[in-house]
Amino acid sequence: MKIFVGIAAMCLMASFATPSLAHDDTAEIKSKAITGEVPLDPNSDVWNDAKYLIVGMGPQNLVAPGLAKGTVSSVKVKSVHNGKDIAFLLEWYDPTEDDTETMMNKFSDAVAMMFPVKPGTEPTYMMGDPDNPVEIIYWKAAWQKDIDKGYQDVRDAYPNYNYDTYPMLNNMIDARGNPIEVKDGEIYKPVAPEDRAINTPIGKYTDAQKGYLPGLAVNNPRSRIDRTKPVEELNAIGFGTLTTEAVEGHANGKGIRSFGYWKIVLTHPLKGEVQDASFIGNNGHFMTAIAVWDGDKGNRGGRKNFSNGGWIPLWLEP
Amino acid sequence: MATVRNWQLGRDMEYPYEGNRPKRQITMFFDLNKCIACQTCTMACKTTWTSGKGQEAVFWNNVESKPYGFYPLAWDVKILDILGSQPWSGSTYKGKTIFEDTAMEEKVRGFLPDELDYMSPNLGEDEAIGIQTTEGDYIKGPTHKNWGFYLPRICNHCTYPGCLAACPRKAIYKRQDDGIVLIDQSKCRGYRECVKACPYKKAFYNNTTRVSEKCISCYPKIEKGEMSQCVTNCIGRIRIQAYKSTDLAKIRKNNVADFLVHVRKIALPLYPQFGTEPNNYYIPPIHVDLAYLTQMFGPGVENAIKQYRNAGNDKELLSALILFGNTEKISDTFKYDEKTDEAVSYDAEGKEIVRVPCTEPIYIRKVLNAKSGAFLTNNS
Repeated sequence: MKIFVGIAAMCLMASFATPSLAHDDTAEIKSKAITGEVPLDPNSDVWNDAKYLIVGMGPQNLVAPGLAKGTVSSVKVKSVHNGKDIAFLLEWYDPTEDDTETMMNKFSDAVAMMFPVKPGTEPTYMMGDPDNPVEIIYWKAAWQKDIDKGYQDVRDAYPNYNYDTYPMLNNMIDARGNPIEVKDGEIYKPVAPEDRAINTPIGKYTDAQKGYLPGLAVNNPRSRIDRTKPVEELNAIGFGTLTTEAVEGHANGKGIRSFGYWKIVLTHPLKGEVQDASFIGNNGHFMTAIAVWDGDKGNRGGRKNFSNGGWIPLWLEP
Repeated sequence: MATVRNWQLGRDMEYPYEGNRPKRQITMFFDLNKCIACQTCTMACKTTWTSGKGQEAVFWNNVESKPYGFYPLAWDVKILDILGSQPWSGSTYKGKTIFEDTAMEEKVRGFLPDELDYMSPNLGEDEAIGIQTTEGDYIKGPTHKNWGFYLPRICNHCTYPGCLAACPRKAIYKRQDDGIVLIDQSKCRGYRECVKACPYKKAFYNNTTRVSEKCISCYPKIEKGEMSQCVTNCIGRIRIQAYKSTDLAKIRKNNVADFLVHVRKIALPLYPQFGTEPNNYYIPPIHVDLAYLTQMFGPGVENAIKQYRNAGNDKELLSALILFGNTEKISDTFKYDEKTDEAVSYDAEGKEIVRVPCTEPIYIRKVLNAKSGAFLTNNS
């Protein structure tokens, strides 16, 4: 039953995604040509003159795990470009601000845009296919917080949390509850409360100590403590193939909260690295798709809302 | 969905992937009649593997006191409640597993615990059922109906893991050589689908690295032919590890795992009705309410208790049980040596690993220690 519903829904997607809609004024993102740098600031005046498109969102339920019901109904999109870079402004209503992944049952709000790597190709709308890879620019509120306030850790999630000791830090608690440092089996010196092990940022760990943080030790992108931007660039060729790009590209982003809305800017070079989407040629006609996650509703991975009209035509005004 | 054989349920069942049993399966055995909840296993595991930042509330090994102790809170009663009342017919499970009758947007039926559910390991500790309700109850008779027992738990390294089925990134895999289930730490993206799907709640989220982690069955030790930390550190000697045959047509009667599970059928899986074919086996506590034990270990409980009570007469069974905790080397075969009244364990090359007396020799100590002149008694 599940498979039949899936196939029916995919056929529906395919019919929506036909190029006949490409020049429909009501369903196209028009990227306005500007002079000067594309703005990274969601509140920049540059956005005022750009036309917007309201993109309807629906629950991803073609493949499990998914969503039974949508959690974000629409996203407002604007775009500008300057012949070198393209920028998008995405806005949606989300009454709860979810910007932590440092607690086991908390998920982050997030947004992503997907582009075919090769202009003119039409990859499968669901994460691309082996012949037609896609590039995904992924902004996450938790990463924005890492950028704005430093890598979020146990102490940030639980300000009053206490923990006796982390053995690899050689930091222990004496009988009276005061932290001490032990060297070669001898008490080396008492440790000031502010230097207690739980307060030690993992960025200060030695390589040996980082061995106790498995994700970080194997360079999992999720565990990155040296993040410089709140977006990740990824490639995919189908379900379950999402992979962080080995060479970091030049996409960037910035997100802010504004009266219950998320306002996110994503920027991307028109011509990036070889694995990146290109926005050169093809008479200025390209495609994109959008996904939004509401952390409060447990959205993560495939449990997301996506632009339910399939690929959205994107036209770069000359 | 593929159709796979689950021998613990006595039937075929649905699973998202084709059946692919490992060459052999590492299994762990727990004699629940002997566990005293000293938590030495818990600490052995904790200090070996999960002492890092972000793992503060993570216990790959835990011991909870049943019926009211849990870690995380209410893990088993919650999933039992989600599945609802489900029937067994003899030794065949007629109910639904966590892989069957799922909602369209789910691969596995499960729930994501609350963060606070991990904050009090074994909340409800030592609260026995049938606790005194009126004053003076505890002195009423020579026998009483109160019961409780200790349940040590690690990852079950299931044949059909819920965590593996649920992971959309295929970051979880089961090793062909020993059946150990692992999470690829470089591939996980921290979706916590495994935490939600594992009915035993033995996949955990690391708050600091933001990826999920789980018991690795001490694979560096297993690969060397030694048992896991929680087994070798158990002071009550309630545990043993051995490789179980995965082809039921090739059961070896002289292998500890095959003997306990398939020959004497004294060791039973924990909540087999979940459908994951767990590979930890428990010898049920003989004094506990039968209905409760049947819910927890399936329909084989009565036979298991009968076997256990008869172990004194059943020298072969006694030999298998007496090997628990007496060596850290993984036994391939064992036998009862009639001549010396000993249990003997052998490795895969047939080399003797250990020899344990089935009857402990009795030493009678004299009341007066002639050497020190002290009276060694407190009955004076």
